[in-house]
Amino acid sequence: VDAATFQALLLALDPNHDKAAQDYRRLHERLVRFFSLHPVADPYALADEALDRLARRVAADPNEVITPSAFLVGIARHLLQEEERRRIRESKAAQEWAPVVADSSSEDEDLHRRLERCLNTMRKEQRELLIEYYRSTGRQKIEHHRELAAKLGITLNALRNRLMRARKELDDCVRRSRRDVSSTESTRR
Amino acid sequence: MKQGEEILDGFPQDVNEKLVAYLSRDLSANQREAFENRILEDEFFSQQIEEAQFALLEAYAEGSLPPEVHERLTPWAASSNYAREHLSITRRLKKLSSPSAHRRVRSATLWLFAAAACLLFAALPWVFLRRHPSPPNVAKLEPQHVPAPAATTPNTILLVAERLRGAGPPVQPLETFPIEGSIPLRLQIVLPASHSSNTYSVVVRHITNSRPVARFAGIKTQGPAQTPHIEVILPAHTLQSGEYMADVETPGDLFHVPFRVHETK
Repeated sequence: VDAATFQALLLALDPNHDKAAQDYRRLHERLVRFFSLHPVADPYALADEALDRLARRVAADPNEVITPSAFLVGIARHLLQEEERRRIRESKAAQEWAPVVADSSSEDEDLHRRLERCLNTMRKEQRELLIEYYRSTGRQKIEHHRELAAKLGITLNALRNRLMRARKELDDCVRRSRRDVSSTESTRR
Repeated sequence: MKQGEEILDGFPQDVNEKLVAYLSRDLSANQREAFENRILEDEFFSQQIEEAQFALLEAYAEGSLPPEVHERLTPWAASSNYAREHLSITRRLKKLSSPSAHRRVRSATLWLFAAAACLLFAALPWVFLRRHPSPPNVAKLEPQHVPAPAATTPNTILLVAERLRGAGPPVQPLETFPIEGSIPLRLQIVLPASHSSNTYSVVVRHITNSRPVARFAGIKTQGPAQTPHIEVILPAHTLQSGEYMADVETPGDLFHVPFRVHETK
């Protein structure tokens, strides 16, 4: 969308520019959460698309969109249906191409390589938290997490929040590296 | 759902149950609609769902969900890219954190120690000779220039020019990219599809004082026509932790692409 269309959306969200920018960001986050609950290829791209469509509707007729967030619900559902149709088409195509698709072991290696690279770019304490957090399994896990929280002088809830933030950074990094054009090309070579 | 309660502690049980019911398509059409409306319109509920989804995926990867819940979630976990990616990363992290991985690290450390000991042993004669001054008639060697280590793979930052709509101020939170200051930085900027055949100039500047830190001209687009991108390499130490703007210009068009970097070393 162009600048004027986008400004129209901001104005519809809130006359105060800063507040409108915050609202925009929150709407984007909520859309990502919504789309991530569904079998879609890229929740972030769909969230962008939903807001672009909302902006176009607002710019076309500001009176039509009284409550942007409520309007967005309809757009999001519509996008989900489009995505579902696309997925069905692609899965049919994928069945035909299945014999030539790379095996999962190479995908696994690729993920491992990206993961290690991303871990190495993270802050030391975040990296250590991730490695330490996932060290134990089963029943020992809860006790281990209690000990870890005590060692860091924080509550279990705070530990979980820290882990979520670290995971989000790691997952975003892996996702970005997958969208990195050059590395994709070099992987294919 | 006794076991689940223990594993997903810290989250309101009704949120977990609602999420499981939603993901396993056990809600009626009206209930689904109400649930979706809340995610999109109620900020607090939306955050709770994100946290509960995280905990569910972790418990799913761990295999610690009640079998009935695990089974109900499997179709979703198998079909959602987001879920699959989360599960793969969790499994990989578990492997990296496993005691066997640590044994491998310890073993590697031992090997390193052994190698260092061998090197030390090999260097002993040289150390011995250094302690005994050379005779005066032996010419002294000029100190040798030690070449800098070869440049490692550059950091890569991928930015999307489309995301900043027009020339207005940035409205999305700046994305932070961890970088290693001592190696070059590759900046890739994805452009709208219509821009595949243009030549660009790129100026990278501080957001706070607009002071430019790097300029490039005559940059040609690369990649497929649907996702053209330009690429520039910034020498090591060009960027320090802070907020930057990449001004990408071609005749008739100007993009401002903001980003933030965090130096890790």
